[in-house]
Amino acid sequence: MINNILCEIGRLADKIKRGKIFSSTDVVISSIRSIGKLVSKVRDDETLKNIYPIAVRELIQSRQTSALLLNSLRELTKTLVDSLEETRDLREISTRINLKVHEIEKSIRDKNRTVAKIASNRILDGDTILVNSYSTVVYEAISYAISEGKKLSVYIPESRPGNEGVFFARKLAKLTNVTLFVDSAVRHFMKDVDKVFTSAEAIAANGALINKVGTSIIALVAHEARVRFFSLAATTKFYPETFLGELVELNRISLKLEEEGRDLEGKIDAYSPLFDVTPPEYIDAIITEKGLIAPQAVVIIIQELYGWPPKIPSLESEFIKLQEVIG
Amino acid sequence: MKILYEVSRIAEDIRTMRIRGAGRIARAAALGLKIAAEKFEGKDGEEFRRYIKDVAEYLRSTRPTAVSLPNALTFIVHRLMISPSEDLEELRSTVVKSAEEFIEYSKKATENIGKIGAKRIEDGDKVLTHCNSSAALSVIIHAFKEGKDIKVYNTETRPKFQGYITARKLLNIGIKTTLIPDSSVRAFMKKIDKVIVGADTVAANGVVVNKIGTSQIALAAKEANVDFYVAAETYKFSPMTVLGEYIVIEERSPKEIVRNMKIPENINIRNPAFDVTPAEYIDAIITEMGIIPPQAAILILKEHYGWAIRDYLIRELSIDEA
Repeated sequence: MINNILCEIGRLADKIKRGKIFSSTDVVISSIRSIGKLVSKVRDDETLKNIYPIAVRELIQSRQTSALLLNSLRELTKTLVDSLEETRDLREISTRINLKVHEIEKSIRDKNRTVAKIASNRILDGDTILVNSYSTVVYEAISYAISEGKKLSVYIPESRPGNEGVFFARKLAKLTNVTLFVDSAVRHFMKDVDKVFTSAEAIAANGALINKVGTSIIALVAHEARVRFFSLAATTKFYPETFLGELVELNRISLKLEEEGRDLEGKIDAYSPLFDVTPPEYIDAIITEKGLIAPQAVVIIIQELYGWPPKIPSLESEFIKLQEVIG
Repeated sequence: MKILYEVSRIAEDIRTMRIRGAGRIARAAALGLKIAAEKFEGKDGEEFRRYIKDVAEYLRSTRPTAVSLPNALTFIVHRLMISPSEDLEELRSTVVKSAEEFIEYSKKATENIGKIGAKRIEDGDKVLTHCNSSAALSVIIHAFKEGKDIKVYNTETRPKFQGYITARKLLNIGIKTTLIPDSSVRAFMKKIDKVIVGADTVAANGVVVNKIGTSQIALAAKEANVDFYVAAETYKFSPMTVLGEYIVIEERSPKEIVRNMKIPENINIRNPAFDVTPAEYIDAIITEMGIIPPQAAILILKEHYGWAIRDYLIRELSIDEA
């Protein structure tokens, strides 16, 4: 039984690692749900103590860039430790954990909604918005703007590797006119664009944006063309560890060679980072659920969330507490 | 006008990009004219002149952006037009010889660019290239053959993945190469020492028209203070831009991007084949005549195409500067 769930988590981690789940929100929701399921199936303390950290670490490692994933699993783990201090009834523990899973899910969706609402205020009637990759919060922002009667058109590159842009274009096409092109054509089309909206995988201490590879060249090109660049990121995407000097590890994925390049398989290196880093000076604003801020002001939000100097409980220290509580 | 099967095959191959790359297109077009001249069945010199002009126009219409195509054709047609002879065989031989001369020159030019450009590559360099350019590859391969340790990063080059051709060529020669997606050029730029790309057209003011994606690579290189070189034979310089001609950016079929995927009708797919890199992002243009700053493009144009420009001024605008 437990083994089945561990296998399931392993498969999920693999899918995440290969970038098969497009939206970082979806990554987090499926991850915390799978941990909720794991806890509900555990029948004894000993198994919980041994297996829980393994499963959580596997998910974290599948996407080390995702601040939301780390922050959500940290919160879930803290709830587990706190609950275990009060009761050893595993059924009760499972109930509390799964309630927490729902709570986190709801909070993510609520925050995204607020971010999208604020972002939609920046969209003017007649705007051409360039978006990239796939993002639920950008989708919401655009759909709010349209529901307010604003006419707009969306430009989107296909976003290799992964082609999330093609997938996103189909979804956006249900709302408005969409123009799709190759990633190389971003600069060619930038002069037709009024604003760029992207989501975020994570926001680092200095306000740098970590997002799907290709984001940073879009930001550079937008900067050159004096087109405003916005990143839509709830504060749960802020990566508190980076305040302690930690570097964010970027997933590297191998490139799938298409039919005409099959003969090169295994003979040449073909890879890419899944994410890249956009420096704060190319970002006009980060739109959070607390409002719109300059990227250099991220530190103020961190102070609000974690105090000053920020006290950031590491996930590993939560695991140690877990071992101690169970004994 | 009767178009020979062999000539229409060449035109079709250029149009469908079975023949691609500005140099190869130019040589193929010259070959087309040569074949047309050799197989011309008429008896009259004047008729031959008209026929060759028509075939040249037919070949020219295959792709709108690359200037190497009209330059190759003009090189040949111009000599035919200025020939005082009325004798068919003499005129035929003028076309055949001019075509051969152009093809020979073109091959040698690519070779010379390699020799000159290789001096700019240092031992241990990591070089980024885009698409599949014979001139750019000539530089990389020459440097490698001189014994320099070189590592290449090359882009996939959507939509048609010409990056595979580049990777295959480098692999066969034994140069270590890494294939990267076009979206990742800025992410990789920190590792790169030099960028070298080809050109489809160099305009009078030094802007370079090349495969879509080139201009953002140039911008990313500029940002990272990485040298950005364009390798271009002189027949890629566009004389008509001196006279204000606007370079049309060809937009190709959406099918190249989406292939067999079903795409909803309200998604507008745009597929520009080229973009424009401003001169200020280019450190130098490597030609077979030497290395020039892009802003000196006019020098090449005056030296090599002065006749074509004068020809146009006289013919179209009735201006005789001489």
